[in-house]
Amino acid sequence: MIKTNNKVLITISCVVLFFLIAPLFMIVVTAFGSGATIDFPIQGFTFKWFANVFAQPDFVSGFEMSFLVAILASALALLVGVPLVYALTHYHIHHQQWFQVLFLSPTFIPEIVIGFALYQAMVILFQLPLLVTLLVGHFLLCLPYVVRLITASMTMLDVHVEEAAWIYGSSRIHAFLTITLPSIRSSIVAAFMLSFINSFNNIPISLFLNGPNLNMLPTSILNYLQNNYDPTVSAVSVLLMLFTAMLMILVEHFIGLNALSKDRS
Amino acid sequence: MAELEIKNLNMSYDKHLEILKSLNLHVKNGELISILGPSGCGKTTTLRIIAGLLRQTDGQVLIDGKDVSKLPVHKRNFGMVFQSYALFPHLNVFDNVAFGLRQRKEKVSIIQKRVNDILIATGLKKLEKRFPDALSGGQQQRVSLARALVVNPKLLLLDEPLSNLDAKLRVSMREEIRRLQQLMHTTTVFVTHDQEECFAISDRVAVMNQGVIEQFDTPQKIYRAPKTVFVARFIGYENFLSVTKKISSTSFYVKNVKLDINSTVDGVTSLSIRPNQIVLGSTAKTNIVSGEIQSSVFLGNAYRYTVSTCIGNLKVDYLGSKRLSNGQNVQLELPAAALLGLKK
Repeated sequence: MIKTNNKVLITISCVVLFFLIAPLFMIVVTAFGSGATIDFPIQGFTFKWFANVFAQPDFVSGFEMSFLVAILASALALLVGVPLVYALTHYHIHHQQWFQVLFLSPTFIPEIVIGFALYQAMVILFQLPLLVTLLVGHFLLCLPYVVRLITASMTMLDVHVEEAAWIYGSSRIHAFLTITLPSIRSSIVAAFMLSFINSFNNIPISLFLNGPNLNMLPTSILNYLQNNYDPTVSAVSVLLMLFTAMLMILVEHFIGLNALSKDRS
Repeated sequence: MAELEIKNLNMSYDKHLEILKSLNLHVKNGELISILGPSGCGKTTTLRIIAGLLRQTDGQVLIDGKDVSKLPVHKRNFGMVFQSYALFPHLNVFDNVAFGLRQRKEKVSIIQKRVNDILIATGLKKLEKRFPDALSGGQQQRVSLARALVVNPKLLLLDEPLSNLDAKLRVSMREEIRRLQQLMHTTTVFVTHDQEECFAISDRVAVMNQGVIEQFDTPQKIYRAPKTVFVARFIGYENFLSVTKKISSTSFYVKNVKLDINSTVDGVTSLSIRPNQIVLGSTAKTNIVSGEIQSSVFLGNAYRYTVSTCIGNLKVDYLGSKRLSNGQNVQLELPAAALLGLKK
């Protein structure tokens, strides 16, 4: 924490925090409202909307599917991204910056375009299963986060550390697994978290790759909201907030939250 | 403990950029040698090829007469200390030092004992549970040295290990390196750009320039009798005179001034002398040149005069306590015993 006496800075920070937190606060409050529509302030107090969340099969199966896809896509992005960044940062590769930009490019292209393009190419043209296409889409979504974060910590890493491991008898693979990976573990966790949250929250890509027995939680919420305007949506939002907070607490417990903002090395 | 021999080592990138040109070097068992040279001369490249971190374009690296050029790094059994310490950040001091022994699958009891011994020898025993980021630069370099020595390496390679330390620590650390090296009798190659550093601890010094070893000799010989212009310049000679005409192997004309030297090398192209060896106001009859004082600088123990003569400007240190004024005419003697003949 930076200690400051700058009044302007404190004021601006408070305003920003207010705008960040106030809407969340409202959602939390409305989730307990007993009225049939989302009201603020609320009339009475009830838990029934939370019960209703679990009564919606789309929400339950959507959560399961979103969770599964987010885990798989993030893991895949790490499995591909970490070796990729290692190669980009450790070897002389022609047109290195081009590759760097290429792997970051999914962030520059509107996600809705990625979703549509995947739908056109993989589902219509190649007749690939929806789930595979969905995974590819979310993998593309996650890859830039992995490339960005891992590149930052790989370039911070002293190359001589790995060389020292070779000198003292480690093979290249062994040195990579036992020396290099542990040295960047906090950014690996950070990359996984960011990937997971982005995939879990994503609508544009999932929207195109929905199907029977295949819906994601955010798109289910969107669908529900189009037909109903009751506090169930608030309740599911509160549950999602709790879920994310729980993830944060787990990260904090195991490696410290500052892993998400900076690397220890 | 081994003998190192480098034969006709060549290194080039993309066929154009020649980093090393037929390098030869022979290091005896238990010897500490330095490779001294300015940055970009190829000294670190040489060390990395010896270590196996780089593959040479051509030539051989022999350990006890066996070619190790094709042996991968992790099978060479060397120790190396890097300028950046390169400690494993997620391991504590003990585990850092034990790393090499564990890779060699030594018994736990042996690891315990050897790591303990080296930690005591390097004064690190109290710090064994600390992590690298809780150590000072000097302590980190000690750990790095302990990590290298504990495996009883055939060869100890030191890549500018003192450059990141402050001046005082540098002196004590280099003495520490020398003490441990003598104690364990480890053949050592030390790469540095600091002549004082390498003169202080080396048995022999290889002065390197543009991929070539210009001279490989004891520190005393390098200092007193450099053989090439580059070596002389690198160790602090300042006055260089191009030979106009050779009369004999010990007698030369520079412009129209005849200068004699006592000892010589083949193919002398320049003469050189240190500023403090020129005698100002001499009455000698030979090796004399006259000139006019251009400027002077106070050095503390002497004044340094720039004297313009018919053979060029000469830098002269003169101990006299009174400052001579600019424009004054002086006689300079370049004594034959102090004047060096140098190759290009």
